[in-house]
Amino acid sequence: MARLKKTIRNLLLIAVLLFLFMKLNGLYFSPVEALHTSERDLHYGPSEIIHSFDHGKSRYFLTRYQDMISCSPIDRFLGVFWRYGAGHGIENKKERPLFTSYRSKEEEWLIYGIRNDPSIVRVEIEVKNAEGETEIYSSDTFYEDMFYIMWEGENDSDVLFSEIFVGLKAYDDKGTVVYDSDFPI
Amino acid sequence: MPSPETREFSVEARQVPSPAVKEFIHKVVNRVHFFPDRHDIELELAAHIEDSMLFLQEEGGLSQEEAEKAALERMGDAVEIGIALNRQHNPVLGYIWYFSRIIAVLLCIIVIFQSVPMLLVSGWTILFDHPIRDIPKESIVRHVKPNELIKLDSRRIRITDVIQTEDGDLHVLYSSYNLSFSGLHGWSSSGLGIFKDEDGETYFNGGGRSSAGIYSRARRSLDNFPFEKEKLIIEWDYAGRYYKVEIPLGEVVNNG
Repeated sequence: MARLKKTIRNLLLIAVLLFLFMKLNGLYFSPVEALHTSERDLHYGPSEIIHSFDHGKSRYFLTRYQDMISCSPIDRFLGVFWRYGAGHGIENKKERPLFTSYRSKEEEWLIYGIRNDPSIVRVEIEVKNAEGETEIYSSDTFYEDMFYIMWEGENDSDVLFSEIFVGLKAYDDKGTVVYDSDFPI
Repeated sequence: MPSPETREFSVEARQVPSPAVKEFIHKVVNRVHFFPDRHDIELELAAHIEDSMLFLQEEGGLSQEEAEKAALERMGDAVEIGIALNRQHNPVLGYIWYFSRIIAVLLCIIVIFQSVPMLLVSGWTILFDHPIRDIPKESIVRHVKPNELIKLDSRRIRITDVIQTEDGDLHVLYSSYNLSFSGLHGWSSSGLGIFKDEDGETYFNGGGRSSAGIYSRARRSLDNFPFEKEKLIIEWDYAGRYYKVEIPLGEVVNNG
């Protein structure tokens, strides 16, 4: 009986300490909760999640809020937690047929955006790799007009995006270039 | 169960169990599935058998071998004792208790290590770090205390002082904390909005500072705010959030 009482006491103590540990480290059991709490603390959102995908230890959320878009990674921590810490948007410049932004984390590079011209069916980005050769990555998958392209490249601590970026093109279904940009922002 | 102190004393004083006693004890504890209790059970059984042997030797006049044999017979069937002890030392509850104790201690250490610096920083801010001390008293020409509370999502901002100094700088002093405790891990917005006067002129240039921690105090200084302006307007209009605070600045007094 004494052991049962001690166990109950320990479990209650663990619940309180776990709550404090999660608060101290910005951890949540749900990645969506982590995203929306992060957004709220930046006085933004809650955004509408258009699509989410896992890459590495992170879950990326393609989201929209008012005229802004974002693609925020929420990192997994210790297997069961999701770490708070991303979630601001960038305003969609609707006068552009395609509006994009980018983010990077170590070797992982990501370009994401939204098509304002519905005739766009494919987006293509040209970037330089570590050897200086041009590589082309493309996507023809859109989620409510939003898209992303991810690739592995040089570590972002060694290069700037402007140094690896070559060009961005968007095509319609006939293969005609609808948008051609020298810089994706 | 004996207390750790008495157990230590009795173990030293007692003899090493014979192979037969060891085998009996081994058979018993093999049935106990909660491993951390096995050692205590072994000690207790050994003490019990030895007490029984001593009694039989002293009262019954048996030799050591005879006393050992009789004591083990009195103990009964080792397997049955082991099964009964396993029920008493429930392994499910035992392991939950055992690991919950370890997890609680580890979490306690982590939380203390993580929270103490934050609490110290916040305590320092509350007690000693007021940005009003950055401003020499003799240079103040206007000083109002709006005590205005702003609620922005889960952030609470209180504008405590607005001070203009003789060089024209206008200092806005405010404290803030976040109900989501985002300050605990350094993730929060610290901005206050756009600063305007009553004619809509905006002011961006200047500096400031902010303390870290759960509760922070901050100073935002605006360069060359005209002395003839009567109001400071602080406005936030972004991402669906809006507030506007109008602060009358009062008369300019040359206290020099």
